[in-house]
Amino acid sequence: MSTSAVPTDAAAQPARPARRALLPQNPRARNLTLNALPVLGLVAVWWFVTAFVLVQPRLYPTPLAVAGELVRILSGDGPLGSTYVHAAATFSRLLVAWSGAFVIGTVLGVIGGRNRWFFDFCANPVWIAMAVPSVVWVYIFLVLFGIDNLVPITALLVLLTAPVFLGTAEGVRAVSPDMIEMCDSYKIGPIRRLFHFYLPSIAPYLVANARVSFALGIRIVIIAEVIGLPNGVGLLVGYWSDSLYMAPLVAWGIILMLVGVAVDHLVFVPLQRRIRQETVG
Amino acid sequence: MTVKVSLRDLHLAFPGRDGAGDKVIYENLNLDIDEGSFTVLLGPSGCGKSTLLNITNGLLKPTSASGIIVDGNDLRDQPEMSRKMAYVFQGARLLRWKTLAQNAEFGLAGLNVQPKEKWQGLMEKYFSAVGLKDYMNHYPHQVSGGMQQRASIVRAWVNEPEILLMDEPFSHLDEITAATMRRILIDLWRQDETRRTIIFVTHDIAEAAQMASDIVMLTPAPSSICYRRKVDMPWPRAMESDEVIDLEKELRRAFSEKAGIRF
Repeated sequence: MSTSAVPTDAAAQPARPARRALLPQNPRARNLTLNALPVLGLVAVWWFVTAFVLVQPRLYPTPLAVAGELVRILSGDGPLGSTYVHAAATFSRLLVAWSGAFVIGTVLGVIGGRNRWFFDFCANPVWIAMAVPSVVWVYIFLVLFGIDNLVPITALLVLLTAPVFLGTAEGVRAVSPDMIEMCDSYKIGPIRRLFHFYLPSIAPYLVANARVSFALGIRIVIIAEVIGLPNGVGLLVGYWSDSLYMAPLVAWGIILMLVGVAVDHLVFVPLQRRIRQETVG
Repeated sequence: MTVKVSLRDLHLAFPGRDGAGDKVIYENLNLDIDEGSFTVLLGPSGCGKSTLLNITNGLLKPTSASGIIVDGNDLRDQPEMSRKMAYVFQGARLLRWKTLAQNAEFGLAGLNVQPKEKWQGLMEKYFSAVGLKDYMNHYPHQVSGGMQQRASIVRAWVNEPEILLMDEPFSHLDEITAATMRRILIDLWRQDETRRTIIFVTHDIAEAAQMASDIVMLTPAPSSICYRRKVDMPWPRAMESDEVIDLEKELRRAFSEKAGIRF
């Protein structure tokens, strides 16, 4: 019996070091590798296709061409003035509108979560805001306000308030009735109840709302700028799109994606982790 | 003795589902609670004991009542009367993102206890009384279930309410912790200069016998008071003392004879 066990163990042991060699032992490094591998794979496919299959550098830029554009954008060089000025315009619009939508959506969501009548009253406008494509909203506001900062800001307010409202209302509905009864019995007033009870109770929903609406906001603000604004990243994207020159277009896409990922990892993920720790204990 | 709380001709029914008839909880129930008493509402699950506390606190409106009187005033006309009360629930119901002290402050702020300068002193007094002074700055998840429940008693007591409503506060605890909690509660109640009125809900006969100065026994719904007994045994009462055991037997007998519940 013992003789049959020995060869099995001996056979199993050499396989382990071979598996370990593929990925780093350190968990952080392993995670990083696992995250980077698909991206590297994608870049390899992209390079192969643009170098050997679709060889039209203007329409199908190689990774190297896009990297060159990235360097140019980061140096501030652009056909319509400093890229940083355009980026600042885009992100200030996004921040103003996103903050406004977040506050309005949260307050309305708390009311909607507690008051069925108010929720039903808001349900159809919210559905309309979410179902009508953002391009259509941008055109509607262009007609209403002309070429103005109000266009992207209003479009963002309308389109981002809706999901924040829904997420918050859902969070408030999930608050334990026992805890609401506790607040009632201690006669907790509306302001204290909002800041000391409801908002901390629904904190995980709020962070989820913030993440989703921020990512959505980046897309909408660019669409609004492409369609009708005199500055912003969207204007540059429109310019290169009209010129049928794809390398800077892809470069801007990568920058926007990296900004979204950075905000998510540096702000929202740590916030959500902290809230989860407080919730679970 | 002065009557502190009086419920007159209380009627409560919940509409039945799917065409079923109304579920009647009380029909013309009358109950007087003496000032400074430790009144235990004793009855089987579902008889409406906790509901009586909610009606007394104004959290629930009865279908009809000729009076929900607190200190001679009808609670429905003067809802601020409910500020004289504090509630201890079955579970601790603490806010997990606040420390135990901040949870107590939450209650103080809600019931608007004045002056604010005395809050710290009140909290230290009552956290010390329940043996939690060193844990005031801990979060609920950092302490045990028994400690959480003690903190919830402090949240109520720190307001120095005239009436304390307690809804099976120890039913979730193990027997050893519950016994300690009962002793702490009785000590708090007896040591305070002002003897507060406590309305304590339980379905535990032994607990009622050990703590009550007044026992009100309720039948299954539709509930009525089937037996009432003043208890003038001194505290602390040992669970295994002859007097407490005799009282338990008496209460069991009363349940069998008056409420038709067999043990």
